[in-house]
Amino acid sequence: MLKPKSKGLFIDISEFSILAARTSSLNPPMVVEEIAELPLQGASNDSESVRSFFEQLVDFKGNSFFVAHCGVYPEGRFVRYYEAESTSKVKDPKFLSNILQTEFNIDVDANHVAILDARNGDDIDLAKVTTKRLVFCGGPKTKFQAEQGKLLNFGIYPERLELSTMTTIGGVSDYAKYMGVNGPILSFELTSESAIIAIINKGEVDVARPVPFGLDSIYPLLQRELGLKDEASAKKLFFSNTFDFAEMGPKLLRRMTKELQAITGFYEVQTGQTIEHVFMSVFPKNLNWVAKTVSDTLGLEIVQVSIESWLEHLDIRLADGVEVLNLGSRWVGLFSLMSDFSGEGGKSGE
Amino acid sequence: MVNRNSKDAHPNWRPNFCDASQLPDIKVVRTNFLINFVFVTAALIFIYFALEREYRAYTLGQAITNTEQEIESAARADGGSLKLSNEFKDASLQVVDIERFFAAPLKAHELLVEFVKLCPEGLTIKHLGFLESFNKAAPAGSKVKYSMNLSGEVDDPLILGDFKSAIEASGLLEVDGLSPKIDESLQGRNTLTGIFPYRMSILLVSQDKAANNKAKGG
Repeated sequence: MLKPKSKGLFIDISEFSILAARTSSLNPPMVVEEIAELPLQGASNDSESVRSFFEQLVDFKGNSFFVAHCGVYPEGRFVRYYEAESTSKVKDPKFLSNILQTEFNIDVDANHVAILDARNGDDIDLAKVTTKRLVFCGGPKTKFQAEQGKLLNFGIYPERLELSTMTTIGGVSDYAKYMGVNGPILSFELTSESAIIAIINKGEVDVARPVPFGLDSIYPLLQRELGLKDEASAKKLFFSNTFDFAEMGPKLLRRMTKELQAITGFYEVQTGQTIEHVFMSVFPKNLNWVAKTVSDTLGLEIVQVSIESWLEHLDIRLADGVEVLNLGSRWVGLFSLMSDFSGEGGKSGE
Repeated sequence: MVNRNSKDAHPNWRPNFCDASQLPDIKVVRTNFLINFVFVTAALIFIYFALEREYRAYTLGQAITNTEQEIESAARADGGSLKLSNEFKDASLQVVDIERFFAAPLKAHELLVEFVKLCPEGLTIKHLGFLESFNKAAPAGSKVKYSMNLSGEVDDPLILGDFKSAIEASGLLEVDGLSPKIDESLQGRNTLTGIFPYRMSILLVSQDKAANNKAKGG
């Protein structure tokens, strides 16, 4: 008996919004049939309203759960680049555990940790490892469990629960290779409590490290600058579209841009290569001024992702009516969840 | 750390941090296999009967072939037997004829001699016929009938009566189970010769029949 093929659902949940896409299947080749966004910042969204958002996108067919591949940004997440002295050292799990503990202050018992090959994102098999350049990524187990529980409350069964930070870096890496972008790209993920910075060069991760402060550090400054009564008011104003931050932006982001300058400057001195592009993910559309401020301050060009052609190269097509031209880079994380980056580069962009 | 083995390696750049032990069981009880089971069973039954029928047809075909071969070989032997049987039948008819000949109660040549001996002066016998007949429809015991016809001429009509009496008295016609019945008739005198042509009919019938005839007559 012929059974209709089940649809695929991909979800990227950040603190700002839920980005979702219904596809023809869960694995490429696939067709993106519909995309939808549910803003979370400043809106009061309970489980019921979020579930109703998903029910408008996919047919639950009376079931409690819908299987999906999800990307999340759990609090305390990390992405760290590490270059060992030799591959033989990498083969020793105790050595790596020790590095995580001593150098990065990551408790391997309390955290989920994945070890990837920094060159291509391949899942490392310690017994057969051929690289000394590694990327550690993960986050606290309790935070991942909380994200998983949240999804279940929404009626979403997360068959895959990925760290969107890492998946997005993979997407940028693949896009850089596909487009033949010359020179390193600064990837910058800024959220409330922290930021994660990565430098991607020719599809490989050269730098990945967290910044211990995020947007939350801006609100006291904004409160002072505008004479607001409290930080909550500052935060509300920050996410509203009512105020033009173009003039004040560099001042608000000074601490952040200094951190970025320090990292990029060190990288450029160390490698002799000049960073020319910056990629910023996650941000809601009304914070585009942040990306512009960063790119202006650092003198970097913002990577404008040509989503449609990139997806085509990944065997993902867009159905009629799915418009991606003006989606922006914050959607790269969602589309990266659909992608298989294991191919050796695929087709090359012009 | 996230456990990794070759079986569940992650796609590049996309490790999975899902804690499967914390996920609910959403496996549905699938019943499609029951439908498949029914169809498979029906198909197997159909195949079984089809094969069984084919096998029976095959064995019957074999049996028919064997029987035809047996019939063919038996037909030759049967033909020989039939031929022999026909020969036997023909031979047996001859035996029956011979037996009948020897079983006849009266011998024609002996009877002729006796008639001649009894023939009185003045009576000539021109013709003597002896006939044995078999009546299938007659009751048992009277199926065989013997009749004798004499004809000739007699000078004196009384001589014919003497001849009849002499035959009756001679015991010539005394046969077990049969009783004689003699009828004689004279025709008118021949005017040219002055003698009388006569006919005599002697019939030997079973005694019961003769008794019945007598009872009817008397």
